[in-house]
Amino acid sequence: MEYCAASLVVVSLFVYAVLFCIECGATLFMAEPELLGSESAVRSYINPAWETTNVFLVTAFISLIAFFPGAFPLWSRALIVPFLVFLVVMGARIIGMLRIFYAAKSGRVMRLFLFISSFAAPVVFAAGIMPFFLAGATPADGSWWLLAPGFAMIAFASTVFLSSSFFAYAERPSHPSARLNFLLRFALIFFLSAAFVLVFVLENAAPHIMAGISTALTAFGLLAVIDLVISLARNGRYFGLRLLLALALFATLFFGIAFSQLPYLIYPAATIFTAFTDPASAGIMLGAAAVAAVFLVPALALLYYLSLHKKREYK
Amino acid sequence: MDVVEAGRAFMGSTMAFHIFFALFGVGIPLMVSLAELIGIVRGDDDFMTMAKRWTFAMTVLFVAGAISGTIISVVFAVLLPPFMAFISKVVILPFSLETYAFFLEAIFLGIYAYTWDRFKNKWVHWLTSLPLIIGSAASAFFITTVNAFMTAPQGFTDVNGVISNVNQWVAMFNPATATKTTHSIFSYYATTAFVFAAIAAVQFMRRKRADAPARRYGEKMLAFSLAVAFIFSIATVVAGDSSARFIAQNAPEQFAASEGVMQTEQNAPFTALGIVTPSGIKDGIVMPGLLSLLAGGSFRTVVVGLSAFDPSTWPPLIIHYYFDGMVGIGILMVVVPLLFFALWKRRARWAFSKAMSWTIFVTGLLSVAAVELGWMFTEMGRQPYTIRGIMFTKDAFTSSPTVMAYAVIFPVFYVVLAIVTAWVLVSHYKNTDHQR
Repeated sequence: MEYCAASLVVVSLFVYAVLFCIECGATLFMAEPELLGSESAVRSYINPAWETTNVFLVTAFISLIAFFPGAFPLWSRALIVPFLVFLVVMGARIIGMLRIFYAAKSGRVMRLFLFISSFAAPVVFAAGIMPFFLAGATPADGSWWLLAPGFAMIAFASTVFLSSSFFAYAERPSHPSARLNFLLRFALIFFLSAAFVLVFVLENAAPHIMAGISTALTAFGLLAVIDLVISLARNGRYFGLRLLLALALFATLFFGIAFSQLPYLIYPAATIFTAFTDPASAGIMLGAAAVAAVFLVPALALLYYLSLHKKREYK
Repeated sequence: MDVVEAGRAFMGSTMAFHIFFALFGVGIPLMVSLAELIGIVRGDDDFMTMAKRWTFAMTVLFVAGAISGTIISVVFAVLLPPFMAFISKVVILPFSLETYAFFLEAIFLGIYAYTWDRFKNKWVHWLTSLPLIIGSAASAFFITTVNAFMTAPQGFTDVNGVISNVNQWVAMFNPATATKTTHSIFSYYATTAFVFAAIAAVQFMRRKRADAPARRYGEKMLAFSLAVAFIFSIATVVAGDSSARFIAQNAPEQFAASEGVMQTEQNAPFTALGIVTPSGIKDGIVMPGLLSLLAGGSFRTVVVGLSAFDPSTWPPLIIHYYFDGMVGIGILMVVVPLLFFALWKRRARWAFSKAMSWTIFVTGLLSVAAVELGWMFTEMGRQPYTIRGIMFTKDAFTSSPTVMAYAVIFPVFYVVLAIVTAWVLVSHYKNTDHQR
């Protein structure tokens, strides 16, 4: 039951991370529209779909509190500043989103503002929050100064990597520009470099994770080689496959770290067993999650299907 | 200002801001769905246009509501750690369920708002509004059950701070749940409808010399919105009456403080307006026996006075203003639509006169204030407790001085977001006004 609950938190956070990276990275294409050739893919994806993204964060957050109340006093006190800074950045980002996606006017300054706040948001989230959960580290500890930059870099790189792969697939230009091809290659190499740096800092600042991550790293290396070969040899093609590989690379790294952390929730202060709620409450909430998933997963699939496919009427 | 006061200011501003957007998040889906339904059934293009135009407002207000909702969920955790530590053990189920309801709302908002031209059969598109209505209402319901729990905590055993025998269902469906959830959700529907009526009234005033189709559209929007407002205002008054009786029986100190009743008495008076002083309400309009009638349906009902309670547990008497404001505006929300329809039947010209339009516009603005006053009455009326009888407010907040800075930053952000949201809405409707 504890692992089921932890999986719910991790999966919600993973989906949030993917969607949030795509959404935040979209602002790169808003700031430089000529990269894709047009803004249509960005606009037709963002408007219907982005309102659901934050719900994944709320789900992960509430599930963390609901299933693991024992850990709550630890992280709620330690993470007050990162959370509030994250909310401020998110707030700034929402103002930019409202101006650009819902108002008729969207000047270059506002696009730049949205771009900066959008890239700052995942960086603040990853750098501010992850070091505490993975190593119990706060800015008072030396390990934090290793982990925080490592997570900041991977968050930034993931945003560029996932969003460029996604929107290249969504737009599928028949004659991709040299700049788009360069961006896709750069994003892949940047992501792989950031992952390498992250593994290095984890080895030094959170060595307990390295014990369980070897399988994930092997898979990651294999996928990286395939992606590199396709990216270098078949430039400007296979956008769908490259998106799948990008998601697989990110998932391997994300789940590799997350599940290597278990059974610790906050290392070394709390495990998923010591922090777990009472079994009766957990049973009710897991049941509710299962019932909700029956309705929500197909509905979510429909939403993304409608947002990603060209306009046409359905009977 | 100390840390707890800063935290309370932070939390208060966050709640006030969120409730403003949340009420529209609950109310607009119903209005849009009803307008589309009438449009399809009667083949009326004006109602279809109404539904489409309101959908844009629904989407933009949802964005603002979603970010304030995200902020609230995080702020609860970091600002009130002792409170959330307690809640997470006893009544976290509604939070979980609220998340799924919020999910349903967000998904179907995306589907509904962006598929107007994607389905050949209009009924299919209308059907997608139903999960949106259910999701938004369920979201409000679940989160309000937690607030009800804070007034009537149950479903656990507390022995020297050690919590055991937790039953989340019992905690969720506490005695305050029925009255509190119905009263708040009905009020959101009534307020949203009244705000639409107010917008229609403004447009109507501006279109005095407009062409016939524009006048017809304005008349339909005004009449439809006021009809919905009237139905839900009546429902709100009925639910509010039950809520008052519940408070009189289960939180008598709050009931007494709302009318400054010091001594326990039968035939207790209701004092409208007046000035709050430490010894009670002065110079108000006294209506003998009305408070007893509100409390128990009879003039002989005994209303327990504040003197029966330890003064350190008295809620602030300022809640009298909130209570009176909420009740007064609630009555206005019933009377104004009645007046409009009575005039429309007998003197149609008067129903659409400038004076009537102004009355509707002002009542629309006041209806939003009534919701805010209602929540202020609820929250301030529970003081000095956050969870009645269990946890004092001073013990519920964090002691981190970091809060001081953010208690300033976030209200500024809320103001900016409110301005940007208003600007987006106004500029959109201004630009599309000619399309009507």
